[in-house]
Order: sequence, then structure tokens, then C-alpha cells
Amino acid sequence: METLMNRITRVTEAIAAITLAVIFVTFILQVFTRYAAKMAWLMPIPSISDWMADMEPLRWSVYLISLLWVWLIFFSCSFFVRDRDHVVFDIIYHAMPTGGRKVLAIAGALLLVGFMLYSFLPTYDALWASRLMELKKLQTLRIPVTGDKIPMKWLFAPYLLLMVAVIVRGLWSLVQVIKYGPPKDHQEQLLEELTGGEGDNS
Amino acid sequence: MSIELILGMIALFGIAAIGVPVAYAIIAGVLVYLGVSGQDLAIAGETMVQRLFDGFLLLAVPLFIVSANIMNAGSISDRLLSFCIALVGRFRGGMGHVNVVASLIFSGMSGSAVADAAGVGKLIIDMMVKSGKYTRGYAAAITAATATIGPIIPPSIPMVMYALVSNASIGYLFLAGIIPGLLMGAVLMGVNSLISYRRDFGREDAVPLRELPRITVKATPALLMPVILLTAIYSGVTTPTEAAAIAALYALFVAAVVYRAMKLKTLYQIFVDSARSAASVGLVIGASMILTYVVIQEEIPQTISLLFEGSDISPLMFLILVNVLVLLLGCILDATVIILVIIPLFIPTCNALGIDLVHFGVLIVVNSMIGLITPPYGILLFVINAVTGIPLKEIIREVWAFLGILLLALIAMMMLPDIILWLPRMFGYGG
Repeated sequence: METLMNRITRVTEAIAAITLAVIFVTFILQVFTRYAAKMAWLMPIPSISDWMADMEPLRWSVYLISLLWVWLIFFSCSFFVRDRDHVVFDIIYHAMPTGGRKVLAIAGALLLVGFMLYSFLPTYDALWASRLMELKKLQTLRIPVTGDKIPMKWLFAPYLLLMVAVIVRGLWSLVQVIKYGPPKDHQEQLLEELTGGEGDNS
Repeated sequence: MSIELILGMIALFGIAAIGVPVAYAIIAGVLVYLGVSGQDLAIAGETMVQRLFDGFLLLAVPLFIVSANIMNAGSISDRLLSFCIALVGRFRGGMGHVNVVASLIFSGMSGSAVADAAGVGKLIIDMMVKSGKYTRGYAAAITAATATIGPIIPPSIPMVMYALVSNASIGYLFLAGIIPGLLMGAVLMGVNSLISYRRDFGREDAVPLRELPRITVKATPALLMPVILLTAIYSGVTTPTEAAAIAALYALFVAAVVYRAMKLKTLYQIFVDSARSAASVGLVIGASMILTYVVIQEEIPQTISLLFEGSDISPLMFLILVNVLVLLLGCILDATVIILVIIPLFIPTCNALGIDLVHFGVLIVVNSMIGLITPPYGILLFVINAVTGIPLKEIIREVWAFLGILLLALIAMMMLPDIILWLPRMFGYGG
């Protein structure tokens, strides 16, 4: 089970890293194509110069970048962003003894799972199963080769993915807390990660 | 304020208080609001995704994170540090000054105070402690204090967020931060000098002046980064978001080609780490956008605005009140949450009272950065405690002097808007 989870983490990290790299490269291309035709005369090699002179600014880059950005956020949070990576307000948790932390951790997991279950079906119906989301398309973006436009529901899909992930991860941490006790708070986890546990915490 | 909103807020704060990530707590609070008021629950997810998709400016955030991580991973920090030591290490309290100058330079690259403190900050603390001339609490405290400059001088992630919620121009906001950032650096150096004389901290061995040109040349490629970023924005060659990509490309070029300090494996890890931080920041931003949607639906900002207009309050008084509120909240809340959730409530009032939004924005960012070093819950204190193992108690004991002087600098910026607005006006800002 542990190795499977590790493997999922590695693979999803790689996908996210590549996504971010694609966003980065697309930005650069967007700027480059905008100026390529004007800058072509600077290029001493004729074949490259001609190629640049004919270049037109990308039209789809903004939409591709925005779509990938939405996916990057929800996909990463679904799979490998750890609880301690999030912005958290844990003064109360920090001040609690182990027993109190256990209660808070269980309550937190239950509440999250509850809210996601509560909203899942309406959200699924509106964002994925609805005909409107199938018919409405993202502007200017086309799938290469087939040339089809992308339906809006693929923009919203990662939110549904996150809902499922929060439910699964919530249930998993519930089991962990009951079996092994509550997790450390953020400060303690950060300390452990950065110093291998040598840090003073007074 | 409707009963639905009150219930939603109770849910939000209750769930956040037990330690659930703030982003999820906001989603839960909004779901309660939507549920009780009989609206479609799907609005939460739909609004969140749609706003993230439309908020193109936000993409500067992951790109700044990438360039900060590249800067910290290459040997860029070391080179800049030796430059700073050669420059100001010769004075009394030298390493304290090095600390300030290093922060000023690094803030031109990372845009994140936490990245500054954990990266170059840790290096300097180690050097200060090893030299035996400073107490470790002092070394940690001045590093925390100087790291607050990071997001004041461009590029700045908090300012991107503020631009998003206020519709103020990000270009002018970046310009407006430069003088306040330098001012903060100057006053911190002043306090450092004073304390160093009083407590008789030893001097460093001065780096001979004839070494200075060589060290400067070595550091120049890294020093050019803020220049490139700002030139790209203000020349109109790129949009601010594209400029962030150019800056990241340049950082990569310097680290990999000029300094030859970037392995493919390191680069991969940089992208993984950046994706992780960008995603967690993105989620909070998205969540706060649905909260804003609810708050606007309930006309809360207008209500606040009417309240202030009715009470005939002066703009200065309003600024003081908001800043005191942000300072207090900054002791317990993350700067991201303050800027994205609390500040939008006051934007209409600013407009009604004729307060300049660039002035207001820089004040708020400076203020919430001061919150990062305010005991007991300043995140920078924790980060430094975490990366160096120096006890929080010792850091907090030494941080008060720096905290005090930064507050004075904030008050000066509040009373004299020109400190903030002079530079943008030189570049044609009409406010």
C-alpha cells in the first residue's frame, strides 16, 4: 500500500512538473512569436530568418496556459500537495495535547468528507453531466490532429477530481488518526522535514 | 448581513480554527451559505474554476515561484552574498548590513519573503553565528526582519494578489514598492548600526577594495534580473505576466549557462517543488475568489462603504483604522488570506474616500509583511526557527527593535503618500 502511494506521488509529481514546464515554455513562445517577424532581420542564418519572418503570434496560448493552470492547481492538490503545504491556521491545534488534537483531526476529516459528499452530486450534475457543459466549448483551443474544440466540462473536471480526492484522503487520514494518533502540527512537521528533527522548538 | 452569510462565516471560521486548510474551510463555508440560502451548490466549484481561468494575471505567481526556486538552487545566492560582504561587510555590525543588502537584492528576484528567509537567510545566519560576533537570536531576528522587504520590492507575489482584488495596475504597484523597500532597508541598517555600537559587536575583516570589481563582475548577471524584469514591463515589450516568464527564463540561463550550477535533476526538482507551492497558493486564491463572490452578492463592501461615509471619517483616519486591523489580523492570519479575503471589503470605501489604490495597496502589503514577523505567530519566525533550530524565544526577544522601526516606516508611508507615489508618478501614474 505504501509503495503504491509512493508511486502515485512520484508519477503525479512528474505530470505536474511537466505541466508547469509547458506553461512556462508556452509563455516564452507567446512572446517570441509576437516579435519573431519584426526581429527576423537580426538573424544571420537565412533559413531561420525566413522562418521567423513568416511567424504569426499564437492565438491559442492564453487559453492553453489558463486551462493548464486550472488543471495544475486541482490535480496537484488532489494527489501530492501535503496538508502541511497548505495555508493553515493551527494555533489552536498547536496548543492542544494529543487527546485534543485527535478529536480535532477526526472532526476536521469528517467535516471535509461530509461537505464534499454533500455537494458532490449537484456539482457533478452541473459541471460534468450537463448538456450545456458538453455543448459550450473553450474558445480558440483545438485538439491537434482532430481539430475539435474542447467542451467546457473539461475545464471543470479537475474540481470534481479534487472533490473525490478530498473524500478519499479524508477517509484515509481518519483511519490513520484512529490507528496511530493525530498528525503533528505544521511547525513541527516543517521542523522535522528541514532539520531531520534536530531543531529546538521551545 | 443575512443569516445565511452569518452561518457560512461561522462554518468557515469554525472549520479553519480546528486546523483544516484555509482553502477547504472557505469552500465549506461557502457551501453552507449556498445550501442555507437555497442556491445551487455547484456555484462554489464553478465560480472557483471560472475565476482562476479568467484571472490571467495570476499566472505570474507560479512563474515567480519558479524563478525564486532557481535562484535559490543555483550558486547564485553564494555569489550575491560575497558581493554584499565585499560591499558593506567592512562596517560595524557588518553582517547585519550584509543581511539587509542581500535581502534588497534578493527581493528583486524572488517576490516571496519565506523563500528569502529559508534560502539566503539561512546562509547568512550560519555565517553570523559561526563568526561568534553575534548572538544567534540577533542573527535570526535581523534575517526575519530583512526578509519582509522581499515582497515590497518587485517582483512581488502579494502585490499580484492585491492587483487582482483591487484592479490597481500591477506595473505601477511594482514601481511604487521600490522606494518603500529601500526605506525599510535603510531604517533596518540604522537600527543594526545602533545596536552594534551599543553591544559592541565585532567587525568583519574588510574585503580589500581592489577585490570589489572582480566580485561585482561575478555577481552582475544575477544583479541584472530585476532590471530585466522591470524593463520588460515598463517598455511595454511584454505584459507583467509574460515578464515573469522572461525573468524565470533569465534566472535559468544565469544558473545553467553563466554559472554552470544547474543539473537536470535539480531543475526537475525545482519544477516539482514549484508546482506544489503554486498549487497550494492557487487553491487559496481560488477559494478566496468564491468567498469574494458571496461577499459581493451580499453587498458587504458597499455596506461598509456606506457606514464610513455616514460617519464622516477622514481618509487618514480610515487608513489608520484599516492598518491597525491588518496588523492585528497579521499576528494570526496568513498574508495571503488578509490580502485576498479581508482587503476586498475595503476597496469601495477607498474609492469613496478618494484614497489612492496604489498607495493603499503598498501600505497593506508592507503591513501584512510586518505581520510575518509579529510574535507569537509570525510565519517567518517559524520558518527561521525551522531551518536553523534557533529557539523561537531567543528570536522573539531580539525582533522587537526591528519590528518597532518597521512600524515607524509604515506610519511614515501612511502620512506621506509621496514616499510611495512619487516614483510611479514620475512614470506617468495619474493617481
